[in-house]
Amino acid sequence: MSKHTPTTSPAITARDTFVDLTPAIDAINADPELSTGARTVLAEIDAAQVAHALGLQMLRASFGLTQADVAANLGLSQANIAQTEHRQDLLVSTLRRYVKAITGGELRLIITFPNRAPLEFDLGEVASPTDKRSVQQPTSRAAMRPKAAPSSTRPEGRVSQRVASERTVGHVLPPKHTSKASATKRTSRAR
Amino acid sequence: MLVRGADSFSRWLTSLRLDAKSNNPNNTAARVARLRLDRINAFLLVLSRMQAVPTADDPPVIKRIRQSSRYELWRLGHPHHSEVCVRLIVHFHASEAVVALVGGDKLRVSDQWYDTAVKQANAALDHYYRQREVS
Repeated sequence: MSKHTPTTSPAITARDTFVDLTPAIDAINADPELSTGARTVLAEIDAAQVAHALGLQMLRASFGLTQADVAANLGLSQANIAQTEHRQDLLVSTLRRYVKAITGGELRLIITFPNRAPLEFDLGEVASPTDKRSVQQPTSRAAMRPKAAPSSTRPEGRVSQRVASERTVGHVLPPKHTSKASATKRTSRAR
Repeated sequence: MLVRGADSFSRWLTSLRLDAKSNNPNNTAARVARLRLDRINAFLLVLSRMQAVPTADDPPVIKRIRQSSRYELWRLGHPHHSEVCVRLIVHFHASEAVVALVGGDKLRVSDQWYDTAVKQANAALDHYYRQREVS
């Protein structure tokens, strides 16, 4: 933004009055350039809302399960499940447990590239701190990954940090215990 | 729904429009201003088309602000974009009007943006309701 326009709208002053913004909104609709830009964003918003609505809730409903059913499977409260379904960002481990509780299936990550074949990752290793099976018995596909530096961090943190650093996946949160640089990157993500 | 905003908010919007007008595609400031403007404009269109006060979060576009506030505040947001993270804080006055209070890009400051923006929104609403009482 130029030096003339602050990043945030200015604070109110005693001289301010509140005006009807309808003319400004009409101007958006009347100006093809403004209208196109705004409508592009509206389309993105609509798409995100549809994707969200068709996301975890629909997956659960398609298996004929209620939030209470999933909560019982995971040993969580129904409120926890509702919260998970409404979150815009999820830890890979959370999503994996949710998917497993609903479908019994495994979550997989597919990375597509512009000029080469996609890579598929088995996320069996991405587990909760208490899920020792997957920590002790990583799948063979896990071996094809680039080696991460030894870490005492919990598995979900280590893997999700690596995944996030490859910048291949939206809606994946980096771990809570990252370096200062990566923490800065984390805080800059949309919320 | 009728959308109102302070004079200062309108001036900020006008300034953003001027910033966005550049024929040079390499002008980063103009491009970012355009990205911000498009999102604020989209938010205004969303608000003007609303039929009623929202009763629950409707991610990603509208969510109730959880930070401490003397008034009930909502924020409009957009899907993730690497260059901008624009938010518009609003307040619904009864069921007939929405007041656009604070707009801004929180990309560089993350959620700390809300600390000042909520204070700013509260001050704006104090002013708004004082004016309503007078008139």
